[in-house]
Amino acid sequence: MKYHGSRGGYTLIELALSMLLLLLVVGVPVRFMASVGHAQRELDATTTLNARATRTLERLTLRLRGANDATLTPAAPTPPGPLFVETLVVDYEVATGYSPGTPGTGGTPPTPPGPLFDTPERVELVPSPSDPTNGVDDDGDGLVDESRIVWSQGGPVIVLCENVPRAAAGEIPGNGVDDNGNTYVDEPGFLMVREQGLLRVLLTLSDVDADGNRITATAEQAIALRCRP
Amino acid sequence: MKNTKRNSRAGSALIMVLVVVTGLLVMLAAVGRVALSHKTEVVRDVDDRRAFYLAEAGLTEAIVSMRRGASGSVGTATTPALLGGGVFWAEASDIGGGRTQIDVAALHGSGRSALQAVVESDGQTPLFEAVLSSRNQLTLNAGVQIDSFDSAAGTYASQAVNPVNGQTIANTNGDVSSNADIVLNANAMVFGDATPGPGHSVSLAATGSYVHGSTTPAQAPLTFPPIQVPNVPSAGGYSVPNNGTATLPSGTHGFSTLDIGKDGRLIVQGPADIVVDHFVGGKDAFLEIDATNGPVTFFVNQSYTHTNGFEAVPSTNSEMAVAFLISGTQPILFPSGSQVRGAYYAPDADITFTSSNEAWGSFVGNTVSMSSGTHFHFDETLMRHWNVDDGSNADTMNILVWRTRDFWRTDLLSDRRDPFAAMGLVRANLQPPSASWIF
Repeated sequence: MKYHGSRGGYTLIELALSMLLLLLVVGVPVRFMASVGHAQRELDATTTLNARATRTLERLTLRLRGANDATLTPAAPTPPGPLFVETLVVDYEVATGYSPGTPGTGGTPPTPPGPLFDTPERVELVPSPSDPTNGVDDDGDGLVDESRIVWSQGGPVIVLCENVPRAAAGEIPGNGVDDNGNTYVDEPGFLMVREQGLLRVLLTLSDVDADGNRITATAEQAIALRCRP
Repeated sequence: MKNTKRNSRAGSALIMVLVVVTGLLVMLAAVGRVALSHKTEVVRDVDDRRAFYLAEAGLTEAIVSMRRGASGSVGTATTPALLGGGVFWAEASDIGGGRTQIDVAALHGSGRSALQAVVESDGQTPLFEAVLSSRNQLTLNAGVQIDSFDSAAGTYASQAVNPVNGQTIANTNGDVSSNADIVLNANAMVFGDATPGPGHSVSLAATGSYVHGSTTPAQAPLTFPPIQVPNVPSAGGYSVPNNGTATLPSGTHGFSTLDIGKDGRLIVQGPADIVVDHFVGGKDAFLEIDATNGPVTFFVNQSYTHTNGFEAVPSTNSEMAVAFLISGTQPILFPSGSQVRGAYYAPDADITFTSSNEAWGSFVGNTVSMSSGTHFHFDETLMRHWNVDDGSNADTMNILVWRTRDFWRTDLLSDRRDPFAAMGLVRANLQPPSASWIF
């Protein structure tokens, strides 16, 4: 007796059905993995951007905390009048120590004791060289007219942070309305607010992740100016 | 023949496997080393930041200790103060001219940080530094709003032009303080600092409550210095008749009872100190304060009565520099609809704002309570006139210099172990900062 069962094949319909089933069984987890991967990439990009925003503010805080409150410009507002002054540029000098004073000798007058300050520094928001302010995404990075935060001390300029958008998170530029409800109107992605005894820094960063999605990170810090000679 | 060929190749697979496994192990070791190095860097970065904030806390502790009469040194290099899982010590040195240099070193895990500050005392501690101060829990009822202004710069209305958090206010120095908790009910807003007592906290309602400034607890409890009543003989009772007007010239006055009659007006010219046993502000009467040449201080020994419609007002172009220093425990009640101006220092009495009140000044009491919707405006001019010296050298310290500096203990810079191991410390033998002050 010949036994044909072990060499029996599949019909076309059986093949089609089994392929369909295979697609379903394999396709769902593959799709799931793809969406997880996408979410992971977006989360990684957001985390990185948040970390960059936080680090930028920490660097500013460490520097500005030792700034001379009396000479930092813009100067603190005094009542009656506005409570704060918004600015994109601050000039300040940082304390480096304390001098006991020197007695006068010959024709040199004595110097009184007092704090010593370093060469003045500047922090400001400037347009990114690769994307000048013209309403066009000149560098093709998905961001229009972004800016950068720079620090200088009378010499070379050091870039503290890139990818600062032209408007803060939640703010529609140029409409004269405080869209994000934080008291400031049409503020850019980086704003410094001078109040009595402190400088408030608001930062928004914007970037595009690997999948082309726009991501945004925000951070805010109130920096108490500790030197008040 | 076939068997021989197979035998000659036996074992070659094992060598290949060994080679591959060895290569994988080497790669794994390299990756592991990179990961470990990265982890060490991240941990070091976190610890350095913790050490920095610990140093900041140490500097604050040193300054607070100086305000309480200590030297400014806190702990030592061999017995540092213990705080938040790390240690710090502060070394204070007198550099002359009333100035003190404080160097603080702090260690937390593998982190090391050092700060330097030069502080000087201005010799003055304002008696009134907040709009509301109480020994016990301070509860701000729904809709209570607190900001600040300066009566020396004009009226509150002329200064209330600044939008903050959806409200229009004058300034953001409307501080509140308590030796216990501070509770903000719905939509209560403090445009200033809310400072609870040590170990206490600020509770914010879920709906609309807001604090513009700090909510950090105080390092030390509020002190309520005793009222130093001038020794002034009493001239008996003093009354302003109903609908009448009277003027008290500048100087020192003493009365058993000072009574401003219904619809009467008493004008007091500063500088003046007035000692009374009982103060009565009559219905719809006015107390007009002319502080052009100096402030006016009422020392009330027994009772203060604020009748419906009574109001203290400044003379034209005068700041509202008037203070009621009230001894005793008799409650102070501001009736419904009262417009209250001035500073009230009644540390042993309970102060109550009943309903529909508004207040411009400062209020210090055993408790301070108010109805919903009360608005308080701290008058910053009050900080310039009444200072206290309670014998503890509680002066205001001004920071002239603040900077980060090199961590001078180079041995501890190279040894990045936990400070308890690196310095040979026994945690149980260390004291918290407040117990580490050096006098």
